[in-house]
Amino acid sequence: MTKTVAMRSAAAAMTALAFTWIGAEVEAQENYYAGKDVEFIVPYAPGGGNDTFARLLQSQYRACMPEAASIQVVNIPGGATVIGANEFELMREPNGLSVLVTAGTTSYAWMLGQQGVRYSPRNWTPVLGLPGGGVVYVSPDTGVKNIKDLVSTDAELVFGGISATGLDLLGLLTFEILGIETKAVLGYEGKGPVQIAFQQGEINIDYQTTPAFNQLVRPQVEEGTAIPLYTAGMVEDGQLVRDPAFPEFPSFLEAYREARGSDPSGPAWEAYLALVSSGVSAQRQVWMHGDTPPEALAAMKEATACVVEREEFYQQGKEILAGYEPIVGEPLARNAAAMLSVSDEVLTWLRRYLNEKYELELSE
Amino acid sequence: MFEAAADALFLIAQPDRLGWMVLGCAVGLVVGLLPGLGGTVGMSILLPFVFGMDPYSGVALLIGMAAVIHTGDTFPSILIGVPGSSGSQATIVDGYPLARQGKAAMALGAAFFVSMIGGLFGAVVLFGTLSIARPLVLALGSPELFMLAVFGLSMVGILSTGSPLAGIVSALFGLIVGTIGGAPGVPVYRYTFEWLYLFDGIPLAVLALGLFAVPEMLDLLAQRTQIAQGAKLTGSRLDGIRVALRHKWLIVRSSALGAALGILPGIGGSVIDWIAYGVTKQTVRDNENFGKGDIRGVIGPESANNAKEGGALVPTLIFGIPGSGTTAMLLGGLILLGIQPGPSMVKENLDVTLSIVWTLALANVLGAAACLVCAGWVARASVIPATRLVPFIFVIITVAAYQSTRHWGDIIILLVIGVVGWIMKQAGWPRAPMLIGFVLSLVTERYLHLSMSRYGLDWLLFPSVLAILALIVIALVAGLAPNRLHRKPAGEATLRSDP
Repeated sequence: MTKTVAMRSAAAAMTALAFTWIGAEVEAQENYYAGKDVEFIVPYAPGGGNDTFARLLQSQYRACMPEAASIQVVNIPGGATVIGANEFELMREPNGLSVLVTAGTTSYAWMLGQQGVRYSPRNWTPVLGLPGGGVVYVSPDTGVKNIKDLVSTDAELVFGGISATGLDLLGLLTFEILGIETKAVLGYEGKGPVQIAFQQGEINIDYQTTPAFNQLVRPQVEEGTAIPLYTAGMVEDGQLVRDPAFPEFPSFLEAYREARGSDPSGPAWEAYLALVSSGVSAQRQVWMHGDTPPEALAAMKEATACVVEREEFYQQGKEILAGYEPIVGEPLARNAAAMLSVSDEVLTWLRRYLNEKYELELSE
Repeated sequence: MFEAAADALFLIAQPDRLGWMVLGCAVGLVVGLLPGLGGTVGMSILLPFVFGMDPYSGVALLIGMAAVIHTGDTFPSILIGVPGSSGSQATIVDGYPLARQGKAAMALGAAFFVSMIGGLFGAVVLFGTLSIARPLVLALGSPELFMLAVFGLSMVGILSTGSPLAGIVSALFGLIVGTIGGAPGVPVYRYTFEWLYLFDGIPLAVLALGLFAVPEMLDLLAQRTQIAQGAKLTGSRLDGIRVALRHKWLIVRSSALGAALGILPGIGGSVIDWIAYGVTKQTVRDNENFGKGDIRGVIGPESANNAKEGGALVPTLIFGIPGSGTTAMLLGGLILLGIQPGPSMVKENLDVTLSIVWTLALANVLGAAACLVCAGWVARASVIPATRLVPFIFVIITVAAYQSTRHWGDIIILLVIGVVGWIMKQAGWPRAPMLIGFVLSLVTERYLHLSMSRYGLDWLLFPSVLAILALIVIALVAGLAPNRLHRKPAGEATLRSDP
């Protein structure tokens, strides 16, 4: 009997010794990611803006995380990003080896409680965000020349978009807050076809994101066939401020003040601020699981800090960054908090508004 | 413009850039050759590598690959009756019967030759329409695009002669299967049974493989023969080229059709070969052998599917709107290379655009030449006994289907559709109309929905809509009238590949 006890304690001592030895080994290697494979999950098919952004990140993180064995972009497309985000939340270990690269759509699907959503950004921690704004512009055929005309015009305003639950919701909400009637034609394949429809006259008011606006709409503004009205703006410390990519255009808040002479308020406005936080101020975000080991989170944040310092990041990413500065650390956390702390009352209002106005069947 | 084109040739003729193009071609041929894998898979293989390349080299790599997909994909379509990619399904209808008659080398020779001509034609169209395509694309609003989708659907009538009713039922079935998944414009998911895999609908490659490849393999096994009946080969590649040359106007017509349809955004590359097949069948004399091994049924779609790539690049480059799945990913590739497609492609970035034109032309010649060299050798695959060939192909089909979303749902749906396809084949119901219905389902619904929500019913009286409607009526009348005059003795469905 005593013999077994002795043997057990000897075994325990040896195990303890082995553990300290392994611990020392890990400490000696320092970095959590040493020799590990990291995947960047992109909930879109290859080739889109988000995929391009993820591939830019892949090349930059490779340089900033030389210890990692590999960094791969894994595309899990489908269901308007829901499938990839679900897979990240439900099927990936929270070990820091999988990160998710999202666009506004992923947060919106969660806020609106869309069918199939089994994830919640409340369970995640953001490590990098990239702003991406956009501009509402109108065709001169409507007779509208500025924001004051917009709220008083008799012309039929036709807005084109992909879906009322995506980024187009921003444009639609600004009309709701301004109190103007627009006819929403939704179901286009993408914002590119919407821009063509604008040129054809099929629609006459549109919201385009920054890169598309600069590339496609600016020449039309110079020709006089498109008139920019306002940008979606950015949320900074709870305030809507001008879009840094368009310092010359008023934000939606300024436009509202000019048109209505007061500040907007109410659930529509609160919903709008939450949507701007999650879809504009940090349009693209890199997330880790909230219960990732602290050392993994610290290593990833360190690498992220290195990435945003790199000149190559800005050179190679000129097109996709579109002149915006990535946000990290404290400002990013504040932004995420603003988006995630949106009240249930506002969310219910938003879902009811969409259900009534666009005949959707979102669960309220 | 021509001076700039000459300058662009020098840009692309650098040894390292030519090297990238050859590498792209090699990837494109292999991806095309493997059943079910098409341009989108080729793009996802190459995209990770283009990051940080100079634009001309990156373009050489990507376009080199995209240009030859529809050259390489002819091999499986003709030899084993399995679509090499979603753009070469119509080739099966007459190409596979030719292989069964032992004329595989001849069919391949003709197909590669016309692929090359079609590809060159596409490159010329791309060059010629760059500066004038804008008004054409702008003339087509949602109502016109809806009518063009209906035009595509009307091909069903031509493709199912002998049993128009079965063809229509099959097409309607395809339309319904196409509605599985998300609806355009609203976050509503249909027929998904809360299974997340179905939220995005059934992938086209899975449907095409299940519908055409699985039944073919099952029957080959059941008959225990080889593809070439009698196990002997006749005819050579050169015969194929000679035959093709006799139909030069057909090549030109089909190439023009392919390039023109490629330019239209929203129609989708995978119906173009069917439309080309339908139009070929309709516009040639003595078409009673179509479906039983008429070489013209190979020449038509093969010219068109290579020509369409040049056409599909027009809206991709000028408007940033992809005309096909491959160009959708190419768009991403260009952004990775630091080029934002848009009007600047014919101004500041003209040199990149012209290097795309040159790559397209060079790669088509290179790809066709490579395939012609290999064709005689590969054609012998059709004399391998089925019991040895089929298991091998079955593995490839399964792996290819699994590449669609890499979800186990791909395999299940492949088997389900495979059984449906086999039953349809046994019962003599045409399968091509189902595929056309499936491909056009989303497009039809999207543009009908957009037209209705924008214009109410007013769009029905637009002159352009009425013009396309007239075209559809002419196509339908032309398609059905001759059959009534000399009705075929037995009611063979066009797509029954058993001779």
